[in-house]
Amino acid sequence: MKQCKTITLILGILLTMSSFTAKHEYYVSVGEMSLNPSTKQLEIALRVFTDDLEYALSREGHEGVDVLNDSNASSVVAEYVKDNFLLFDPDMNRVYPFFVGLEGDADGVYLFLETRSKYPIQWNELIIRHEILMDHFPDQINIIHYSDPHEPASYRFDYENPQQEIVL
Amino acid sequence: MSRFEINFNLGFEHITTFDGLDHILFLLALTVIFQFKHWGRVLGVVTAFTVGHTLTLVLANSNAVSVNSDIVEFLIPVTILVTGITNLLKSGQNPRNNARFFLAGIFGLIHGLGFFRSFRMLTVGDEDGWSSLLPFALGVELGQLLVVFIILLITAILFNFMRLKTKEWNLFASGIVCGVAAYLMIQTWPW
Repeated sequence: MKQCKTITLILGILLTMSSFTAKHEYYVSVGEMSLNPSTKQLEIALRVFTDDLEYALSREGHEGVDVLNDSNASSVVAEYVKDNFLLFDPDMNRVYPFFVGLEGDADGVYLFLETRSKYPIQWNELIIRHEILMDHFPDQINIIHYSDPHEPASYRFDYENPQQEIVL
Repeated sequence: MSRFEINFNLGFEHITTFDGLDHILFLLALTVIFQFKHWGRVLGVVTAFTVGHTLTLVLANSNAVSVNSDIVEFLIPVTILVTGITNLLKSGQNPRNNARFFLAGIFGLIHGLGFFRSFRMLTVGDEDGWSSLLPFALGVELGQLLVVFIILLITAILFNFMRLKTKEWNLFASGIVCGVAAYLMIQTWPW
């Protein structure tokens, strides 16, 4: 009986130990979005960890990409953003933001986007599907702060809820 | 949601999710010598940890220091091991020993380093950083209080219903803590 208890205890401890991971960092990205009052277009800056982005791109066929220095990095990133950061109008028609560019350092990189619609954006809501990095990091949390002068709001996107309605 | 809610939730999850099991392990090591009747001291230890953790994040926010994340990932299990070993010493088993507050505060500083990079990310668009830092710290504090409450509840059940003695429980829990911490140190060995 005593042996049985000891074996159970050892198994329990081994099981507990195997479930420990030693990583503390979050997989997180934070973006800011605003509606330009004069142009009535959305301006978006998404900040992501540089190494996470390069890892995701390498898993999607761009092995060894250096997003800060490679000459084709901008188009590779633009394509990735187009596939993973989706905007929809209230009728669920896709809105394609223009990829303005990126800048950053070894730690983090800002991805700049803006809508360049012929018409001013006058909807009162927008649907965002923000799956950047989620395919490769299931724990990824993406946050968007919408800076409305009257009613700023923040939205969280994760694997379970990658899509949110943003009140403009 | 507001920025406050988002950051509060992240702080709370930082402690309570199972991805952060080593945080829970550290809290077990810090509070295993206590019972419900020591609640004031438990609150003090938990708050000392939060203060240390938050101070590091203030530094992160001001870009005053940079860290080598490999060394930090190794230092965190070291703090857990040291706390576990302290529990096995005679002076470390005395719930009235004030040294535990210092231990919690200093180790809080080190654990904060483990969250350095993510925290810098969370302050994007937050000019002075405080509207991210304060709710995050509050979330950390409440998350810890919840975990510690559960630990004290388990302690109370073991003492009252299973007639376990303080020394046995401490030896058992601190033994597991030291074992897992040593395992994590091997995993994160940076050299």
